[in-house]
Amino acid sequence: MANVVTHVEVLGRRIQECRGGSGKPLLYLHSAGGEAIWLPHLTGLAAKYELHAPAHPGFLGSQGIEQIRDIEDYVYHYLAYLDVMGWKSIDVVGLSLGGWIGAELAARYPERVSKLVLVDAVGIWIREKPIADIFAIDSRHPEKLQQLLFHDLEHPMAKLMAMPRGEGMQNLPEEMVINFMNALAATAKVGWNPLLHDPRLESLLHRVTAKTLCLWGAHDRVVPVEYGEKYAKLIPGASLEVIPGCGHMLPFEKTAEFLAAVTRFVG
Amino acid sequence: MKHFLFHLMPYRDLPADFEKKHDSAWVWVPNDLFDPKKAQVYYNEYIDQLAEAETLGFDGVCVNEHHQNAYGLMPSPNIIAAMLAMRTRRIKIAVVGNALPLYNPPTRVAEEIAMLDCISGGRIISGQVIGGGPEYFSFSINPAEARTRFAEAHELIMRAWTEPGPFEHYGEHFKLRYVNCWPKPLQKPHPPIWIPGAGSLETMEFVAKRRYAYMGIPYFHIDFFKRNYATFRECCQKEGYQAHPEQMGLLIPIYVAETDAKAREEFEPHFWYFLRKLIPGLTLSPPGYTSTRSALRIIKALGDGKSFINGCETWQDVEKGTFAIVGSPETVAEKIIEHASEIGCGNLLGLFQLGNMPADKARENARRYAEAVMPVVNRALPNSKVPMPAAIPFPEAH
Repeated sequence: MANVVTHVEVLGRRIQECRGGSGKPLLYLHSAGGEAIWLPHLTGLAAKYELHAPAHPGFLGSQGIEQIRDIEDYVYHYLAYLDVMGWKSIDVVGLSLGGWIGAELAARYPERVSKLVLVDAVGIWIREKPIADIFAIDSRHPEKLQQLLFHDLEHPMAKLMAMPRGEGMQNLPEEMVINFMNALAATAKVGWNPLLHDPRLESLLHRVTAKTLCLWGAHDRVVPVEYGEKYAKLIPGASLEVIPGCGHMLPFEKTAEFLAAVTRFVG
Repeated sequence: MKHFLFHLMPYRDLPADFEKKHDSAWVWVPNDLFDPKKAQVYYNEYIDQLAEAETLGFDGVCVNEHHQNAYGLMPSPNIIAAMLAMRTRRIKIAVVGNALPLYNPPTRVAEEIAMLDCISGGRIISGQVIGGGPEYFSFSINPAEARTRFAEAHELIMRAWTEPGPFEHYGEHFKLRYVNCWPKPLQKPHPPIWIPGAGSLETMEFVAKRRYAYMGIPYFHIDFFKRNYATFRECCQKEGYQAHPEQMGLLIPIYVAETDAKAREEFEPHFWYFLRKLIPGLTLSPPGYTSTRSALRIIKALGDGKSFINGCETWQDVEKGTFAIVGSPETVAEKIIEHASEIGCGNLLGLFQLGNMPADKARENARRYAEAVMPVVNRALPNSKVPMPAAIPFPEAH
């Protein structure tokens, strides 16, 4: 299948998704950045699998944010999505916010997730190592977001991410600005308070039956590697793999290592 | 023209190097900088300044609500309004406003405003606001819900004042089995409603539809206000009526001295304290707080970076954008008449104390304004003889 951007209807919501490749179906759940677009790490996955990367309601061209009150509503959205796709069970790779949704889905409906890769996932909380407040980044200092998200600030993706905000936004294409604002607003809707986690999730993770890999950037400054350790401890049989010289946006910053780890694990 | 004395109650003694060490006077500003001994003096001076507005001949006073910041020490404007209700007999007391999404349940606002209205003999104006962006950090309220929480809370308060209780309210955000407002406001059907706005079209359409008053949020370039009020008047037109002057208000820092030169000399240091120390952080805009449509409109309107007060680098910038009206009584009156007549507003909300301006200066400023500016403005812009349009009740009220 060629790499396309297509649409699927879920609970009456028109959902946009990247779809491409052949082989085992693989579901990629994107981060707060809304990267359900054909970036190198997705074309890489589509080279090995039949990749599906839908945009969550509220992101890109996906409708239905009005009905999303919290992370649980995203879980029910994806449960319906799996039904629409006809998947009894599926392999899931989720980055950050997408990892949180994946973990919630696998904990609440263990039979629906076969293999789970949590990449720098939010969703739980460690009091001594709080998740960075991405919402509090001052629009006057877009470079601070870049510093949070990447280890190597010279990485081409890091430079691309240092997107001007606030007044500087007027020089960007309007569609990009709209997507960016909608992405942050949708993330805020489910993750404003408590910050990017669900206090109940920790006590549900023992239910996960999916074979789980926690894949973490060694220098993640948003969700430090201790979160990977905690997920790996709480999910039965889970393992942790730490990628050196890498920050939060692991699939962007270390694309080859990301693809190698996922294909090794998912098979 | 109706003249209101507006007070922000700022913290006046931030260290000289504050802005070098901190990039915000809001939310995260360390509270070890707060000295309660100083606040004791400020509060008493500020309340005196507000109460004195009555003897000076103002039509009203304004207080407002902000949290966890050095810009305005009034987390509860209703407490200050309660004191003013006792210290004054004639003037209007405008609470502009209570940040409705921060109250749970919001019927608390209905109760407190009703109390104040009874105590003051029906002199309360109920301002109802969404609350500034920083408040959503300070209260951990979800900014993506700001608009829907406000709309639901507002309707609930209006119903609590006008519908027989008890009734049930099961809304999206608030679930209340018994709503039964005791006390109810003295003014019938309810106190006047003022809604502040920063230019979002949704807010203007809402205010125009319900026939409330629209108060432009300050610190924008005067041209930005003029465009916004033109849009508001169009919104009223679309609703089939002419906007009443008292449906609009201009909120602006004012300073009056004997001459233009003296006024600038006396005022300017306090303006820069305000701009450089207290304003940073005010414009925090959390995700979802403004609809994408409105946010784009505001970003475009603020295009050149000189349309908001924080773009001011020189006194020429301040004058050019009319970010404050400063000068001799003649100059101040002339500028007010020019801008207010163009905007078409019937309310002037003056900030007579700004930044670290000490009490004696602030009082003298308000006194000069009342004596030498107010009468001139009133001769040029007399109050409208037409009564304010009656607010539209919610359909459920009938």
